[in-house]
Amino acid sequence: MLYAQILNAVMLGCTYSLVAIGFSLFFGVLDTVVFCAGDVAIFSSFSVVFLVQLIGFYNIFFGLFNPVAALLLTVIVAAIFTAILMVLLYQLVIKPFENKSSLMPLLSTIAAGIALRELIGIFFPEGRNPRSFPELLSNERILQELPGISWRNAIIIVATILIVAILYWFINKTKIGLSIQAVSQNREAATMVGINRNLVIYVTFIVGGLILGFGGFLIGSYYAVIRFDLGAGFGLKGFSAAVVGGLGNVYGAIVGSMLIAFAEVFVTAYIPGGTAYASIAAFVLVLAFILFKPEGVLGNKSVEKV
Amino acid sequence: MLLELSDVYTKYGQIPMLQGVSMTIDAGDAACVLGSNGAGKTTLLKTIIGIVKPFQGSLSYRGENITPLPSHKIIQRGIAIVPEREGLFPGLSVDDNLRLGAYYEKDKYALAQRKEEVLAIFPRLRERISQQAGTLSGGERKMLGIARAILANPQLILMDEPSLGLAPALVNEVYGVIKKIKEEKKIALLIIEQNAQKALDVVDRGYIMQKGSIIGSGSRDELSENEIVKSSYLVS
Repeated sequence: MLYAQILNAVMLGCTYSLVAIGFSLFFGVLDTVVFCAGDVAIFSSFSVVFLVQLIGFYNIFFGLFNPVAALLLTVIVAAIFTAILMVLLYQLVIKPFENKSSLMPLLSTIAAGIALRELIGIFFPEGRNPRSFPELLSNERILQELPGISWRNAIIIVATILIVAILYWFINKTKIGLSIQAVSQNREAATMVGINRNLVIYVTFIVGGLILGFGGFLIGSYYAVIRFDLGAGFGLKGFSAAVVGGLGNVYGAIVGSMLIAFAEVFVTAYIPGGTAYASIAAFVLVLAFILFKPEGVLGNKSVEKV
Repeated sequence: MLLELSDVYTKYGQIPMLQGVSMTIDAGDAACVLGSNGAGKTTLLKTIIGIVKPFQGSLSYRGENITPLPSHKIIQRGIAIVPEREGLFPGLSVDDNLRLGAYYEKDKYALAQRKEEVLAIFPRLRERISQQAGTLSGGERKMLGIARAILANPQLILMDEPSLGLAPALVNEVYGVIKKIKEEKKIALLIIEQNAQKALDVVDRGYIMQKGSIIGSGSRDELSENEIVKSSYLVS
């Protein structure tokens, strides 16, 4: 029982993590909360549905290559769509307000999130109805002796770890990654050493968009059914996880996601009628952090900047 | 001529900052700008590297008009800056801070060599190479700022109040290093200071700034005898 709950919590934590990392990356370079990140991730889930069910992209390549290559290609194309969307959103609803109050982009990204989810509802065929997400990851157990470890679950966990590992390498070992850290830590000093801040912001939005793109695929695979308005909840959870972990710190985002996921899963499992309290537990946790440890688990940046 | 400012005016919102500043720095030259708080000294440095843009007047660097260029393009042309404080990346290691100084260096061999030279000047930084910059003492941070600037291999280094907030012994140490840079590296220096005594020890000439305007200039000896400097900046 406990084992199953831990596994559940880790899975849920994985789905929150990538959205939370998106929040933290954007906050790092812009000092503002890009509130549409959850909706952008769900846009990616719908992109996968579009590619697989509506245009048969996956099936076309399934025949040509092996299934793994077809799957990867599908997910990568959806992630690229998402990255393009993220850059467009930066250009249209964030950049124009950059030297204004940080409340402006906050409001404009909330508005963009609402617009995005409504547009999915309007233009995606039967967009307002729940859609089943294509079962691209098999639900079969890897080993009969190990309950709960299906190919799908294992791939979600391994893919999350892999994405975080690649992000770690990118941020710490590449020059552009180092400049993303430099801009997050001290914007003016970054300018003073000659870093092109605009370029850094675009790269961050591309990287963040790709991560949200992969996140959308993992969310769809985990829940098996997606809805056009799922992004609102994911945005709020992802943002909360980023705050709990320390806004601006991508590793903190993972810790925050896991804490929230464990709180939700354990309240659901061990408190009678707990499902109803799951979200309450998550947000009580967030409130506790805001009150007693506002910088978050790993954060060192002032939360007042929000 | 390395750097030339011609009749530069800037403002912050509606508040006038620089008001018709003109000055020149030659290659290998060391000059200082003396002035009290609020005289516009830091604005002057920010204007040179393009963070603040003039609404009138122009700046040229090695004969090229750099007025419209974004900061990173100006820095790429060979100007480095040692900010007054908070100019480092506190969460990054000393090594990463140095790496960021040489952001545009493509020649890895030359960079490694230069880093060795710099660490020879600042042995304490070598000891702390993998430590986070935020954990360094005030003096060490200042040294890291200077080391980072040298690593960029610039022709001109701008220094914003190198003595500010340091104990007298550390001020001497920092100025010892600045003297070394000037003599050994032949890098031009523009030092912004309130501590005229120290600055005039190192520079060849200087400017006096008040309320956004240059109100006097001269050689080191002339400035040492200047009444304004004597009364306002040489009081020990």
